[in-house]
Amino acid sequence: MKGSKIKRSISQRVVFAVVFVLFCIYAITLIYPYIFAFNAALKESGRVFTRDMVSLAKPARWKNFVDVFGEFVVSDSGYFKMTWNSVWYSFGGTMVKLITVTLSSYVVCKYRFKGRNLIYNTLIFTMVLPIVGSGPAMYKLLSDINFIESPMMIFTFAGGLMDLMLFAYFKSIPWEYAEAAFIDGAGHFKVFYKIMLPQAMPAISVIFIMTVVSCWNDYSAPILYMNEKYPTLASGLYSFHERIRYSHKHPIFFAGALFAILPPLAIFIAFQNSIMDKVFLGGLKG
Amino acid sequence: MSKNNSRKIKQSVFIILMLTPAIVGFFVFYIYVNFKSVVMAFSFEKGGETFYGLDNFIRFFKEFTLPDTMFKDTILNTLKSFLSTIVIVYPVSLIMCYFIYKKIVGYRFFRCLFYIPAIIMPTVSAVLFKYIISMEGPIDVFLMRFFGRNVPDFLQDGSLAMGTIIFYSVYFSFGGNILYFGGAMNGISQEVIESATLDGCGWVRELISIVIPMIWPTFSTLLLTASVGIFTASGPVLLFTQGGFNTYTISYWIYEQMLENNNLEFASAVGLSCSVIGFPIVMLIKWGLNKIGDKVGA
Repeated sequence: MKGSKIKRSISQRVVFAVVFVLFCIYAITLIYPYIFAFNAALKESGRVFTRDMVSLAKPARWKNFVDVFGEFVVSDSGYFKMTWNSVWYSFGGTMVKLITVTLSSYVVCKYRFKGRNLIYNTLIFTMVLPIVGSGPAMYKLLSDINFIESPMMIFTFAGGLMDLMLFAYFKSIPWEYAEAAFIDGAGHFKVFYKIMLPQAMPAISVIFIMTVVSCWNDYSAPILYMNEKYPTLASGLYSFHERIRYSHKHPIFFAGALFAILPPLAIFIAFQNSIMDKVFLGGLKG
Repeated sequence: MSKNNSRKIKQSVFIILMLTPAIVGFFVFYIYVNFKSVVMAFSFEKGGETFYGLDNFIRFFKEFTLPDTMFKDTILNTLKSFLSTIVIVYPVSLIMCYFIYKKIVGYRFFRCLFYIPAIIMPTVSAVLFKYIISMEGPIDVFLMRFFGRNVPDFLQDGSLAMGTIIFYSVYFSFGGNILYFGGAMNGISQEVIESATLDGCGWVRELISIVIPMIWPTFSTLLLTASVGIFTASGPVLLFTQGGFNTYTISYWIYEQMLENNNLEFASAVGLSCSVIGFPIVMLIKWGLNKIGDKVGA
């Protein structure tokens, strides 16, 4: 907003000042746990930790951040392997999801065919169905088709019929470009990936980022389905912490935890403007 | 004519190919899974053989009516966490978002920072929270130094544990909603706000009479999504107490049956019962939201 010197009355200023103070307090409570974790990661392992976790780590054991890679082991997987598992799980799962919904959202949005409304209405209907107990059936299915403890798990991300945000975004892209290309003799596939896909990239990349981050952080499916052979960082941190009562490696845990939250943070900071400003506006309004 | 036909065929082939991955995925992981879930709910084993009937539902009903049943607390906990989202998270994040929208000092920084809990791994943030509120943790040390007393055992006390988990879920989920509300608020045209201000419209009035009606579609979508998750979204119980100290919720209880590969048919029946109860509730909420939507003219 240009030249937005907003004039506020005195009572408004008081309220804004109070809210500002509250915001600052909230901000501190959000940041503090990570200062605590950083300090804890520099402490000495062993029983000492649980008796004194708050005092400043003296001397600071920076070596803990290196030792993570040797000592952070969950069901025979080390930290590097868990990181790799997180990488393929989140990127693979995201690609599977993104490819399925991008293709279907595009076709349902831009083409008229029999069953088009059925797909759209089915999607809307499933969105208001409060399904609670399908987990056990999913578990049985995945164990029947041998997906459990296997990289095939990424294909479970293909359950979505289409994506409403992408649908709305495709709708906002004019069809004239495509018509011009058809006249020039381009086929349907070519129009899709040469003309429409590049224009939808802002929406696709935001969905990509959000999905990668949520897969990276997901713990419930990896704990349930992959934790023996393919622990991810999220599920590995859980299992490592479950045994911390016996291992007393708290500082190693915190060092591993701090590394694990870095990639989503880095992605978020790099793309915060496009996430915050651009697409959600169009997406939710559409 | 034949040229036209081949063009049509080409288009049909294209449409079918594009839809295949989504349709296959949907049939396997949605239709089939839910169908199987219903079949499982009605099936039970006796002496190594599978029978079909209402036994699981009868068992659920019986267990539910027992005086020391855990299911009553489980349902209650589930509803508590649902209501905390509706009653606390949405209104508070709406108000927070309003001040960010009004460009409070440092609003860019706050908007960015408040969103960060939404992208931090729960297995990290929940454990951190656990240590912060634990014995010998920072809050405990602070209380000890200035008030000479210890923190209560938040997560190992049946009367506090669920409240603590709900507090955690509520406290760290404002930022995610600020993103949604913020997107909607930015869509309000500045002229409307300016002309209202010129007419002497105060900012509380502005929030209630302009901002909320204008972002109503987003607000009602969020409320509807939350109500669809009424029995499923109930906090990271696994990371805190694993159901101990009266903290079972429906979804965690079902998850635990899966972890232990135990009682899967019974769990399906419990889930199905909750879905059947949930459906009219969601429809009612949807109807109510539409009514309000008509009224505010959004």
